[in-house]
Amino acid sequence: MKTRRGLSTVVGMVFAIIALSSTVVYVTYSMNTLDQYNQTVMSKNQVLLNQYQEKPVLVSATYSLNKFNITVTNTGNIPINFTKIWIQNTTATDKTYYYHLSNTMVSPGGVLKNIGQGVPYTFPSSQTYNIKLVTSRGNSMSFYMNSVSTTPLNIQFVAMPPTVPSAFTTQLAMIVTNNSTGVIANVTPLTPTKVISGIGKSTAQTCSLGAINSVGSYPTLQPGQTAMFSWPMTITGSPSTICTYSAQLQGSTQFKNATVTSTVVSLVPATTYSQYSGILTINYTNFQWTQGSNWNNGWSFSHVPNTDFSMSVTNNNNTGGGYSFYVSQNSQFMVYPTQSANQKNTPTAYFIVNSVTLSPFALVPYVDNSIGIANQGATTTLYFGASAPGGGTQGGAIPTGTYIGFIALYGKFSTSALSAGTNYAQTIPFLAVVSN
Amino acid sequence: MRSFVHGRRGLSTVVTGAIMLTAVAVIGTSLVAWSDSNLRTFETGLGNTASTNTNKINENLQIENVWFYVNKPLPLQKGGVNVTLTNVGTIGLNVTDIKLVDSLASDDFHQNVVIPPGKSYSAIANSLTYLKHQWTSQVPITITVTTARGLIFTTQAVPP
Repeated sequence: MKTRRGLSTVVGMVFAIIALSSTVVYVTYSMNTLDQYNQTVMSKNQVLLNQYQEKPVLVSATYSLNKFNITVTNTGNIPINFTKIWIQNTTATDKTYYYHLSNTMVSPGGVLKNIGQGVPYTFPSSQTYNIKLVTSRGNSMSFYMNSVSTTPLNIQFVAMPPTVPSAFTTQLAMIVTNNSTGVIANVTPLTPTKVISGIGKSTAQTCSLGAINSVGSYPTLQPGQTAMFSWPMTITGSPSTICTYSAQLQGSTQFKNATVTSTVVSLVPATTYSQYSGILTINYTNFQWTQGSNWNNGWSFSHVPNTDFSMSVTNNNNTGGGYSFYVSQNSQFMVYPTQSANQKNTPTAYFIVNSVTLSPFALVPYVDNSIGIANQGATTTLYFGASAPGGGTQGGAIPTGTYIGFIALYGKFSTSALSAGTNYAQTIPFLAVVSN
Repeated sequence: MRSFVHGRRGLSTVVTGAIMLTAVAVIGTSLVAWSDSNLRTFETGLGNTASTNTNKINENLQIENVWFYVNKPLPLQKGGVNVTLTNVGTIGLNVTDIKLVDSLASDDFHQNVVIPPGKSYSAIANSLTYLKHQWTSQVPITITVTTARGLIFTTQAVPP
């Protein structure tokens, strides 16, 4: 019995050992498998986390020797390795290039420069590109070069102020806002060009655009960011003339015109100006006098007889249609003494003459309405010296003293000297002379 | 008499013991074999499942770049798309299908391309060197890439 019992125990133990070993092997294998799987999951999580933590930011993208010169910075907390650059010519869309980059590792907080300089192709700066940098972790950073035509940009072009007097300078401002979701590189405006326009208006005599007085280019324009460019512009011309300029960004004429905006700068209308200063004006620097030898500037002359005067008069009436201001023979230059003599302030008047000759010194009598000054800015020199309207006799001498002067201009606005017209009269003050 | 009885009892006991031992051996062996077979099966299944899932986890395909042909098949016809795929994972993968879908059209391109780790592949379709798809400006296209392991990678691109 002892022997049989021992055999049974041995057989049972053999089976038990086999069963236990199989179980142990299986459990061990399962544990190893689960451990490997766990390691894989953790490794994958780390890969995804690293991918998420890559944060490259474009600093600038410019051209250098027909190649791109891109600068990026690493704002994340893990190193970034740029492995490939894609360059798609969006001017000719079917052309796409890629190039494997080397030595393009940038540490956290570091800056990587000259990306693109090693690309063995040249890219004209006049064309538009979509550039994508790819990292070793599979992330990519794309942006546009000169691709303003394919990017939704809000562009405004305005004159500030829009209305200025002649010979004044205004500012032409171009305001660009990036409404897209991507970064735009190299936002550069072209110099605004003058556009001959202005229906119903004449162009100015001079439209002078100065050099840009703002930042000339933005290396990058982030989504939502606004760039502003400005130029001084001086307009010279008669009232109501205009200068019209058109501005656009570099590359905007390619494929899709995104920036066609114009602005108008116009002068103060002559009618508004005349409400304040009169329709007829003189150029005070052209006021002259003569006593027979020559014409002189200045306000001081001898009290001897035979003094005649001349000045340039401008007709600022803005009404067109061939109208002129025809000067009446009653027009005169009169001076009043600033100090009374015998309780009297007796004026001395010099009526308009056709002209004054110097050798011999004489007056050419004025024929009524014979001089017409055309509307819309024409200027004519008028002479004064006669003692009576339409006469040729020299006016009296001005006694010694100081005098204030006025020009009294009578006439009519008409299409011809003989036609009936609208009578108009005006005095022009601010003249003063001294008779020694 | 005692001796005769004693002898029969001994034979019976031996036979019975032999039979019992045989039965135990056969049944035990069968049970052990069965359980071992089951364990092997489970082990194999576990191994396959773990391997498959591990490979799926390690598979990492990046749709690196998508661009649109304006002049294919003829100038200004906007009929072509190029999709570049890069294997950024640690194991090779097999691209079996690329699908382009937008609101106006859907095109499916069967592929059978192995991409080793770190390598790229610009998708082609048959004899064409591009994926023939009539695209429309500013209409988004969904690009779906399927691999042999059943993973699906998707991205969207907007034609210019």
